[in-house]
Amino acid sequence: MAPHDDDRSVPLDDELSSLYQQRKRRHPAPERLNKTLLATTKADPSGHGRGYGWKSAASSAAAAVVIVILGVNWLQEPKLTISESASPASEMADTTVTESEMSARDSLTEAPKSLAAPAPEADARRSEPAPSSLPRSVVPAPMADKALQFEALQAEPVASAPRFLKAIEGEAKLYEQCDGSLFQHEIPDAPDTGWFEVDWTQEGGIRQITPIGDESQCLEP
Amino acid sequence: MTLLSNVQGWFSGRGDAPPADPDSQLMWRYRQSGGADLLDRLMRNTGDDLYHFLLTQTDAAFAEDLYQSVWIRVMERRHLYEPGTAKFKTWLFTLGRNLMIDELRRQQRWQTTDLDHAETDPAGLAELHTQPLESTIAQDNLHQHFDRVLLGLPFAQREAFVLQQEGFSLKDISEITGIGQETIRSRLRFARQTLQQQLEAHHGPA
Repeated sequence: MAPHDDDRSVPLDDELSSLYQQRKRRHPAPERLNKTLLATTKADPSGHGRGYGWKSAASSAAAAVVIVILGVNWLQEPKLTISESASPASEMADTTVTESEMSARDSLTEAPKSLAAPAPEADARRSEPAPSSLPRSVVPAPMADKALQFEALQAEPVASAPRFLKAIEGEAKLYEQCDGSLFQHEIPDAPDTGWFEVDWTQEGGIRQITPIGDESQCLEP
Repeated sequence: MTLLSNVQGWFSGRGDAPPADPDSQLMWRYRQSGGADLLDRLMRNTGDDLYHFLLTQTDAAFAEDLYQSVWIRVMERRHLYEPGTAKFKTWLFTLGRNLMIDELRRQQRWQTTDLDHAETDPAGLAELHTQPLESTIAQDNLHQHFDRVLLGLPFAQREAFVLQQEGFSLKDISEITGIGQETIRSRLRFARQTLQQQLEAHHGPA
């Protein structure tokens, strides 16, 4: 400090200053107080206003925006990339890829292990007015706006209300279509194995399920 | 602070540029990062000064409590520190003094709230004493005699004297205490006169 630059009318007395400084040296702040305080701040580093200031606030806001964007992108990405690459001749390979993808997703989201983890049934999407708000028995329709990109990759089997489906062992809501792509929908009375025929209502509901067996009838008119 | 001054501050970079004196620079960095090592250095640089101020104005037990409370407040309010408006030590002592007076009032040890009125009334000055515990000091030692005379000063005079000895200018003391500079000057004059007379009477002229 540069004291007294505006206080020339009150000159300091050297002797008084000396006595004062000696008195102060005899009465230092107890070290235990400093240690206690430092222990407090180290034990609670996030407390006492950490993160104040506009820079910290801006950083937090930016991080939040990034997280939201990533979350939205994650929800909008194809729920199963296997549907793009699946073919009847590569079922095993497709399954392997899908499981690895899902294990990665599971590790991030801790969602139940399912091929359809990031599906429209996910809670985050329930709040949207699109297909998740529909009754479960209704066939999902192609979605509008931003969800369209997601559904566009999946929409053909969904919109076309497939007649023949094959149950996939261990998967409750996921079925194989005639062209080898996957179709996701809750079909309560579907058999656990083999092919079956779905009789859809005009409203998109399911009128009847007819088990077929191991042989598909996809080529039938 | 007005909107205009805030805007001026933004354009002039006030609040972004680190301050000049080392302790204020440390506090500026502590405000930004919250690092315990920075707080440690601040406490080591200024802690003794603060503690001695509190000790001289109150007593040992009270000073220890206040000392910890002040630093906790520094942690809690570090985002409020503006290096463009005050040096760290000025800010620290302002926190300390405010806490001290609040606590003295709460404990009903504050015997008057009208410092300025008492300033012109020597009889009133005597009523501004708090009651330091260090009241039994031997008479035959210069240091001890100084302690006794210092602690015998009225609260307001003692405060002004200690703050001046801590390196604060009249302007700084005025900011810390919220009292006008002329009043501070008057208190300093009374304090110095009393100290010099008492010491000379006991030990002869310096």
